Amino acid sequence: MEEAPTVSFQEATKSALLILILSGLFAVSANLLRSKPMDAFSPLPELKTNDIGLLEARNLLGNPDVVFLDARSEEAYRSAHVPGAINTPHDSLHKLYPQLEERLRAKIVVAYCSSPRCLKGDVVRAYLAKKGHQDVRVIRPGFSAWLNSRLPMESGL
Amino acid sequence: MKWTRLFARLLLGGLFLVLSFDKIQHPRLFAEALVGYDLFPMLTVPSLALFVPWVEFLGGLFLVLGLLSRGSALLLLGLSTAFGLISLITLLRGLETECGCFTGAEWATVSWSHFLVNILMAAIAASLFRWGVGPVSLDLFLAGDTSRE
Repeated sequence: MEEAPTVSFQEATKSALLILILSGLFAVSANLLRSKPMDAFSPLPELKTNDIGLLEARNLLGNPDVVFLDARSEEAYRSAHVPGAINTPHDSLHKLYPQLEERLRAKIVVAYCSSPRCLKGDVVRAYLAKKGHQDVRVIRPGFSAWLNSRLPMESGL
Repeated sequence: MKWTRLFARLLLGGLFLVLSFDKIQHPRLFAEALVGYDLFPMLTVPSLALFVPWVEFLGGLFLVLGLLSRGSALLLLGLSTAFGLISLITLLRGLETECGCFTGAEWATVSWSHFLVNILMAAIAASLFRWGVGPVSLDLFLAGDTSRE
């Protein structure tokens, strides 16, 4: 069976550009047709109750009544974390909690993971809530957004 | 060999089509996943989240149909290479973030298998670009029509 004649690299590039332009048109049209169009230039997601954004978290840095908990793995923590944060991987928090309990009592606890869709911070919050900690917040944009926004960070253990 | 290329074309195009559906339906979730990569300026993330899935969809569709096939192979080569590079950078930086491949899968974090799959997809796209996309294509049909005129 025959195949279509091959086209030059130039023609192929033009075709690729055409597909890109069509994609842009479809993207804009589809977005406008949504019941809630997404603002193509606005920052990200609405926050849930007891979630906080980057600026609020930044303002809590250095506050002696606040403890930051990094719910990611040790490796991720070692590479970079919020200054002063304690590494409490979500799957080993139950082992670490006895050592941390006193330190967390009567404090505002701020937990975080890497991205808004990572729920490890929420796991930490849920666990601490069961242990009676009243004020546990989650940095919803996550640590990646923290880094992206050039907020303070440190590395190592 | 041409039937192998046809199979590869349908596989690659079909994969991109399927991967685009969820992201087209849920651009906000895809935008959240993009933030996790810590590679894109925050202002560009929503635009990327709206635009990239449609590039995947149309690139995949055109390849499956065999329309503008060399151009769509080139485009998907570019996409696969970019996704592979992004995965590699993320892995080397030690960032734990979800891949955004299927926005419904909360725990699908970026892994070496994602990197390898993207490299494989880039290799398939490159070979389709270089050697053609096989028989049964709209390009062939349209070329036949043109030659009859």
